[in-house]
Amino acid sequence: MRTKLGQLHYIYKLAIIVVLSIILCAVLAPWIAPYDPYQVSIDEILQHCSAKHWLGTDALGRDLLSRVIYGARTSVAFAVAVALCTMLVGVSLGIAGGYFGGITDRVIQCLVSMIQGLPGMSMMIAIAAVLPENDFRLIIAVTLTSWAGFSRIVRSEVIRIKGETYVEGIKSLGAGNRYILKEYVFPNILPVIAVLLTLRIGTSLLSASALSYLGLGVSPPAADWGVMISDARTYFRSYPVMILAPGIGITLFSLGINLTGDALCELLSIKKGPENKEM
Amino acid sequence: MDIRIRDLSVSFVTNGKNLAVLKNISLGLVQGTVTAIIGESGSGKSVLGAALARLLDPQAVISGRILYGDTDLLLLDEPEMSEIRGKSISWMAQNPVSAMDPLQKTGDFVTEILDFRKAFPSERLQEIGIKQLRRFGLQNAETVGQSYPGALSGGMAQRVLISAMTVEEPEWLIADEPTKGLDAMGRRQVYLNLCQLARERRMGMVLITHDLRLAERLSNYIAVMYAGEIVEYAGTGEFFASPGHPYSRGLVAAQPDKDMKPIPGDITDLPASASGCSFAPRCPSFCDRCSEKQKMVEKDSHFVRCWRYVQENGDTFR
Amino acid sequence: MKSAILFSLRKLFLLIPFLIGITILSFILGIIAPGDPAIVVLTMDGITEPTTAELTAMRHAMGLDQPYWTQYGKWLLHAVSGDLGNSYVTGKPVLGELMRRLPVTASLAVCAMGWVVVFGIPLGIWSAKNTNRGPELVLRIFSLLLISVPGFWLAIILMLVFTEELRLLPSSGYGSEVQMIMPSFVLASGTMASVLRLQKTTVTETMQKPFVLTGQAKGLPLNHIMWKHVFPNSVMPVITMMGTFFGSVLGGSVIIEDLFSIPGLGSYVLSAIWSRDYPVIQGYVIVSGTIFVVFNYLVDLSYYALNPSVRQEEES
Repeated sequence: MRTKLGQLHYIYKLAIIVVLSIILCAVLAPWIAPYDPYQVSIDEILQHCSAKHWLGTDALGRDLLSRVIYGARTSVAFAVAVALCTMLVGVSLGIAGGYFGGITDRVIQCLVSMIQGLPGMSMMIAIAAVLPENDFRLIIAVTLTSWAGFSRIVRSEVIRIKGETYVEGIKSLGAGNRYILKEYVFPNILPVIAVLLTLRIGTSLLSASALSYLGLGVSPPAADWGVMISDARTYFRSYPVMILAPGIGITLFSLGINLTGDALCELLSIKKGPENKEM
Repeated sequence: MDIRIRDLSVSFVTNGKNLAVLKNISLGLVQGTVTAIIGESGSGKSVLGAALARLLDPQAVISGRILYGDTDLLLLDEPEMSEIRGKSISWMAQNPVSAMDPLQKTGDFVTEILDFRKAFPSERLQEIGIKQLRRFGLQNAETVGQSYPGALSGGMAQRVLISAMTVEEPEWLIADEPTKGLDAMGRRQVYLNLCQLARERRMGMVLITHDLRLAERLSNYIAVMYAGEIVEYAGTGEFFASPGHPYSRGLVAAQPDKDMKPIPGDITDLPASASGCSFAPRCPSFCDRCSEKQKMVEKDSHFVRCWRYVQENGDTFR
Repeated sequence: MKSAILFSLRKLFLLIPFLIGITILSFILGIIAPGDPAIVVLTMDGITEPTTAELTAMRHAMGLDQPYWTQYGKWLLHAVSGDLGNSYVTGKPVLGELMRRLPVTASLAVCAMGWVVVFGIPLGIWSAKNTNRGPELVLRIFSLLLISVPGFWLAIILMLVFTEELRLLPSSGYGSEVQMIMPSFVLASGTMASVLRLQKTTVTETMQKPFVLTGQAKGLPLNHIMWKHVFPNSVMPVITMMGTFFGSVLGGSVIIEDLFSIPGLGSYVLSAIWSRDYPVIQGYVIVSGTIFVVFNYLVDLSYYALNPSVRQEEES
């Protein structure tokens, strides 16, 4: 049954607010961050929380709060970029296979089962490891290993819609492929894509920050939550805030996204399949 | 023992709205006889069947009494009810394949309750199961007993279900649409099976069906349900000879071997006034009094809930 | 019995394309990887400065001047015979190094899957039976948290709490059972929560099935129906997902082994990544890919053994 936005459980509303405010933080980072997140200051290294530096400073004297706020920018931007790329690849291959069928579908299905038959996270790390060191390797590595699930669901949706009597009817009236895709297939798979994309942003954030943490993603000195956790490893015993702040950022955003995905499912009346997390 | 239903009402609360499915049903079921409950889908007949075995959703709001002998079934707790189910009153779901656990062999499915109640030593169970399956015309009972529900045809599955639900020789069998979705062969076989139970074992039966031919051939009494109410109750012969309620006439006329004339309208059409006859919006012989509630009237053990029927027969009612 | 053997052989046969795919991927990684293998071999001692002529000769000797598919064919032949090349760093055969570390990762993964099965499934059933009650809501939030939290961060937080503050569990090393508790828990956490949620959904759905009513109509108590019918049916979809879940565990082990200083495949490949030891990365892809494929094969077999409808379909 369809639910209206106002009827959502307050947990869902809260989650949507959290996600939106983190995105807002990311967008407005230059205006709300108290300091320049890259400003190294030797006199102020490893300070505890104070009125001047609310969350303290890191090993290079950079203001932690500013880095967390700017971190939202990098991390969320990468998560969204990765999710969009995954969607682009997954949706186009899903539609191609599902709508046109035949040999195209067979080849794509073969690729899909191939990718799903490999341990995604391990492959992601290996691929990122051999690619040249730039920000694109993160996007490429995650996209290559995670489009398959997307495409499989889109494909089955397309096949379902294609089989509907009204689509077959319109086809027999002489409608072209482009017309059917644009007028019938695409609008009908849009809700599913919306839900998948939302949930994908969450998993992408986790994957991307794991890669960044390993030094295979966003490279330092960029303010990124994964990089910050990695930087903080040496000091976390004495300065737990250094590790808590970016970690809470990641957790809140991905928790918020997960719940928002569930809320979208309710709003668009979609049944959600089993989820799987990759670190 | 007879089952007497007194003022049974069932409603479900969905989205804050109270949906009455059964409204003040009173019905007597005589031991060893077959009562067919007929009516369109949505009339509440399946809910009535499930209510008799107390198998309704826990969310359902139930009032009234279901007297089995002198015990009111609605007052029993779950363990007490478990003792009655299967042994005294058995209920058979519609759609036999989904009524079985896909991971359980049909032989074990049939004897499961005997095993649970430790009624027989476990080494005898297989033999009992095969005997029971064979009783209902499954020739290769050994093979059938070893297969899983997914491998059975609809007709076979229905017979397996009958075997399982009567393995404890209950006094009553409530059969919900036993011939639904079966081909002519399957329907005939199920009819023979039920006949065998009713005639040879004098098993009391509540036959919930919209297969009027089955009802005519198998039952002793007919109860017609419409929108959660019983609108007519009579002996089967009497009923088919002269159906009293316009709805019953419509049902009989809608049979393939009669005129096959459909009843206009839909069961969701609600009467203009909530207190009036629920069939009024679709009734071909609608009259002014139909907006008032009519009680069940009786003439020679033929009960009808209709003002027109009263007029037609003169006021010779009790 | 005969059909069971046929089934397992047929499924085994179906693994071949996957194994080929893994080798292709591994080979492609080797090509993409920066650096010329010939230079690497020639400069291994750190002193020699190879001339162009030497390089060309070495390239020819190594077959690097041949088309890719010939190279792949040769490489595949070597790989099949167990030669995955030598580590750039130590010069030792990669396969041997990987196999030496495999049992460590395997035991970690088994412990993690243990958490998943022992906690995920029962708690999922419990949640379905107690849905919307206080403790279930807490568990629901907790499991959602476990899904959302990054594993590496959770690991550091747990170290902070259980090692630094409470001094209960060791934060590093391999060998004793206590040392396995934290890493395997972190490795399992997300998967455990996913299994919990999936199991809850399947139990709730199975409880709606008509065969539950039939069981009650026979006179069986609900508890008996739960264990004998609802549970086996509801666990089937979870088993089919086990392979995918295992993939997250395998991949996560790279980070977890490094954090907890566990000398397994994961920490080995990570150090290979730092030192750009590409043959090791290639070998890791093959070994971890093969483990994953074999695990999925075992899942298929167990599904076959547990689900009679698959079995009977196979027979007919």
